[in-house]
Amino acid sequence: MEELCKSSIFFSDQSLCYADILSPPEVRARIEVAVLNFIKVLNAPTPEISDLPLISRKSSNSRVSRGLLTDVSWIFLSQSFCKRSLMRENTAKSFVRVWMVMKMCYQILLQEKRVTQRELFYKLLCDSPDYFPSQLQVNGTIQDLVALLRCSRFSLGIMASGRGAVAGRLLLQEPNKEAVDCSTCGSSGYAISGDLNLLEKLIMKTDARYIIVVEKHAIFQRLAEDCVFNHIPSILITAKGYPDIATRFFLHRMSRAFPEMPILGLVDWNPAGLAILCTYKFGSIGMGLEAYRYACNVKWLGMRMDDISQLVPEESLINLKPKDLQIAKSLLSSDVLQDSYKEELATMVESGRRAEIEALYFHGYEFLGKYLATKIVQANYI
Amino acid sequence: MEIGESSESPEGKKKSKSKTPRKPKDSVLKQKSPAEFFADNKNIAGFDNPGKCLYTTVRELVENALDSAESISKLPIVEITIEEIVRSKFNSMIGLAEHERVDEELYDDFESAKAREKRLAKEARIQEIQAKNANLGKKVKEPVASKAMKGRGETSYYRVTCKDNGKGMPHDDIPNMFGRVLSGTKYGLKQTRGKFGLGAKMALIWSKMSTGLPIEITSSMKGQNYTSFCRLDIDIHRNIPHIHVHEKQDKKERWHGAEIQIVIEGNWTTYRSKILHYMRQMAVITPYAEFLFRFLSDAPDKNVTVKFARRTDIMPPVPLETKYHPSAVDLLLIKRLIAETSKQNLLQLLQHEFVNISKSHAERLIGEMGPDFSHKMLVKSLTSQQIVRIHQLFRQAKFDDPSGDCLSPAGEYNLRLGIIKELHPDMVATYSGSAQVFEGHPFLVEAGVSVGGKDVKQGVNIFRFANRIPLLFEQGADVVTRTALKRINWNSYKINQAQDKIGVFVSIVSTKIPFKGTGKEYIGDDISEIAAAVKTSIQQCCTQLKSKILKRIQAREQQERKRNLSKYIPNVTGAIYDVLKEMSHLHASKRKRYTNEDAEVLNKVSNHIITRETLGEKLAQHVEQVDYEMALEYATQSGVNEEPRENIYIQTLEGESKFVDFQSPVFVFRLFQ
Repeated sequence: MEELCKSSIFFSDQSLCYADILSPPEVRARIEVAVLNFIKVLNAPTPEISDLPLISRKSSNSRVSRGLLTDVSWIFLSQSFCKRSLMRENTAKSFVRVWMVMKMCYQILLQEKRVTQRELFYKLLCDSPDYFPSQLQVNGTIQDLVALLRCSRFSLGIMASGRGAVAGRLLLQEPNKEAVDCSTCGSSGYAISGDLNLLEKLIMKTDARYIIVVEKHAIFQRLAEDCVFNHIPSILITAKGYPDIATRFFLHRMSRAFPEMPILGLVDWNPAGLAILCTYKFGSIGMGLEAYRYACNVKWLGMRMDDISQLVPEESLINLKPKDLQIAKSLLSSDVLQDSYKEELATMVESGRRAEIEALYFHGYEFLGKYLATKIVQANYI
Repeated sequence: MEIGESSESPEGKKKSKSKTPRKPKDSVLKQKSPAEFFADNKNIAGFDNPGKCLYTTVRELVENALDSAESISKLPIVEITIEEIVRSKFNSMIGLAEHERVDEELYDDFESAKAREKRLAKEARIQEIQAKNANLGKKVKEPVASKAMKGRGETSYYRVTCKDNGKGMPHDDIPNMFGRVLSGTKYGLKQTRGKFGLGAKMALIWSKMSTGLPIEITSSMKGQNYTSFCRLDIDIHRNIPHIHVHEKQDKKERWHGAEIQIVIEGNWTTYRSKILHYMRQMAVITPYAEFLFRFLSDAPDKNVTVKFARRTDIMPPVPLETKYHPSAVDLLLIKRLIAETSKQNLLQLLQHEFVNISKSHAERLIGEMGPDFSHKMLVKSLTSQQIVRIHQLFRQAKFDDPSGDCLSPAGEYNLRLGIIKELHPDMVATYSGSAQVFEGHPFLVEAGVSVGGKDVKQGVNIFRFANRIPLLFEQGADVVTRTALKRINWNSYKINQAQDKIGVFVSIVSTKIPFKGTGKEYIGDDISEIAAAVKTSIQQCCTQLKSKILKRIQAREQQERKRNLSKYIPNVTGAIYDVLKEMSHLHASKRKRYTNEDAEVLNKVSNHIITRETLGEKLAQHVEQVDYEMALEYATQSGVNEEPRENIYIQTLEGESKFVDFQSPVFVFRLFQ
């Protein structure tokens, strides 16, 4: 996988910073170096408390990589640093947090265990509630640590609990286990585990011709229940909103296993919907050091402007909220977005309206399947 | 003349109507004298209720006194005294015998048997509850003093005396200056303090309505060897003064100015705070004046004496009378100007009776008016149609904006001094805008923003001034209030709108303040020119404050940093030491090889040379070191950036004082006793 990624990096991508996928001893070695360096600097003739240099996870440090021959592009982080310093009031607390989480990870790695982010949060909440009042601080600090040690979150022994689900014409087989037929998993589908190692080892088989990425779990359930994949030979996948790394990883694995299958996205007609689509397609800045690896060339199937004007009744349109406009604004200013997407978004902002996928139920519950079929047959995706 | 005629007719008709009393009266054409009009509509001039009447009377007298002193460029000294006169004293004053109540039930405050029962039952209940609470060991609240049956601050009578060191009044003009409504010296286009030019006259009408006692005026002008004394009241129906005494008296002291004494009905209890606020804000906007305010009553504990000392001797210039701007005149005004002008022809009229019309400009304007007009045509020969044409052209044509030269703002310096003097804020910033124009009248906005101070409430405290008088009523809809509360993002200036003690001072001066409402107590929010000017001024102040606040925050952080950082040290050492310990175990058990330096460190850990404590000490040491360096750096930096010092104003000593001199070869130290 590494090789594949690296081979596609052209000269312009030389500034790319990434998190390595490492074995536990390798990560431990990095932690040890960090600790020893800290002690050395502190014990030096002119002692100092060293700052922690992190790769900045801000949009100003993000770059876009574009394929030369394909329209595949993704977001990655460049070499700009920000510092966590004990000496600065506003970063002192996060400085301490990084060290505390680093210690935790070291102990986890020593025992070759894996914990979820949630588990880590509860553990830290017991030890030092002042520093970690909520999951937010834990997640943020883990990303700080990723940016400091430049190894992936999974390498640190931390996983996110799985959120994704997959259904449709896909046979999955864990090593030494029976194969699972995702078309018989019912409406909730096969849950995608947060354990990337396990996902990596899955054996996949399919006779589908399309992969359909669905924004919402409710729509996913509707499609699975209606067995849409029987009419359209397809695999359905959802992450229930913004995708977690595991779902992206899984989708990326499928796209490599079945490179000729188009991946089609079905999202709400609102800025957040497009943002979710873009997270699958380009990766994200927040997890920029590893997310770029799992960017997949998702095409925007719907809902789009034409669907709205032709299929959605006027009364189902809701006014855009300030939050929507904020997301739209940041999307429009992003370099990575292709022009056709920007046009769609601009029309949405101009109309001042948004619509849920469920608005299509106006034509009956079974309409959703027909809608998908029509769009796919017409190759009506961008 | 007309008044006399019409007053006859209703008399005649009344008689005929009295025979058929049930039939509604036919509307009778009546004529009111201006004094009557204001007596009927006294709320227009701020005489709504006894309490407000007392307030407005004080206000009118103070403002007259300031105007008078400023008109001769004298630093004002204003003494205002309110003396409470209880009913019995008042009665004896007017020679009314004290009446005992005979029929108690006739009075409003009579307590009927039923009400008494109710009250007693309630008191008993309260006592019971208190006893219970006391038993339970709860904190016993002081029993709320049951309010006197009379209700909140019964209206009483007050003698208001105001003495100034102003110009004084010419002996012969005094009766007309007080006894005739709508005759005044302040008419004309200039920035004035008054509202309608009613001033003391309205107070006189009120005294006439409430007490019937006359006003007493003592006045002396510079160079006069006598003092004028006049006691008069007003004939409301005829709008003429009714003079009791008007005489010249021997001058006892060297003094010029006026002293006015008036007895009115009022309510000190309810308007006490308003009157004190007014005095305080007046002192803010006129720091060059000295105010002595006294309230005297029979109960010594209620007495109030406040002295607002002078803080500067720099006085804003006297506002100049200006000519009208062509875009600010209406038809009637043009006609009046034509009637009053001394100029002969149209060209001169345009050129001299208006601002911003030069000779060549006037010629072009006349050309534009049409063939009926010529330069030399006589002003008096203009027909009504022609005047309408002139008016229309004034409306349509473009003129330069009037300059703000005729305005007399308080001045940034004075505003600042006033704020510092009265509020003692932690920080203050002031800003003075340039003159702008609304409907042909120039206006100028000055603003001050203060943070902190004594007697200031948390949140935004707004102080409004129009033509250098404080506005205290109808604050909600005012342009300043709206702007300060809605359109200023205090957060972006590091000011906490809810927690900080913020003072917002905005002074607007203009030849015509566009007041809203009958009370002339606020300026509407719908005038975008003024709203924008107010907003910019406040923002300018805030920007100045921001840098100061940032510096202060920096200083505070500097102080708190050390404590904060030390708090973090145990957690950092804990995390790092735990990793080190694991490593040293690995090293000791030879499961992993470390080399050179690293091995040395790990050996030290194993041998307890590096421990949790030593690590913590080392960190603390370094934090201290860095702190010291930063403190040093900060001190040198802030030493350089110290604010410019402000001049202090030392009051001059009046009269002869006894003093002792301490001589030294280089100086003399004089101690005044």
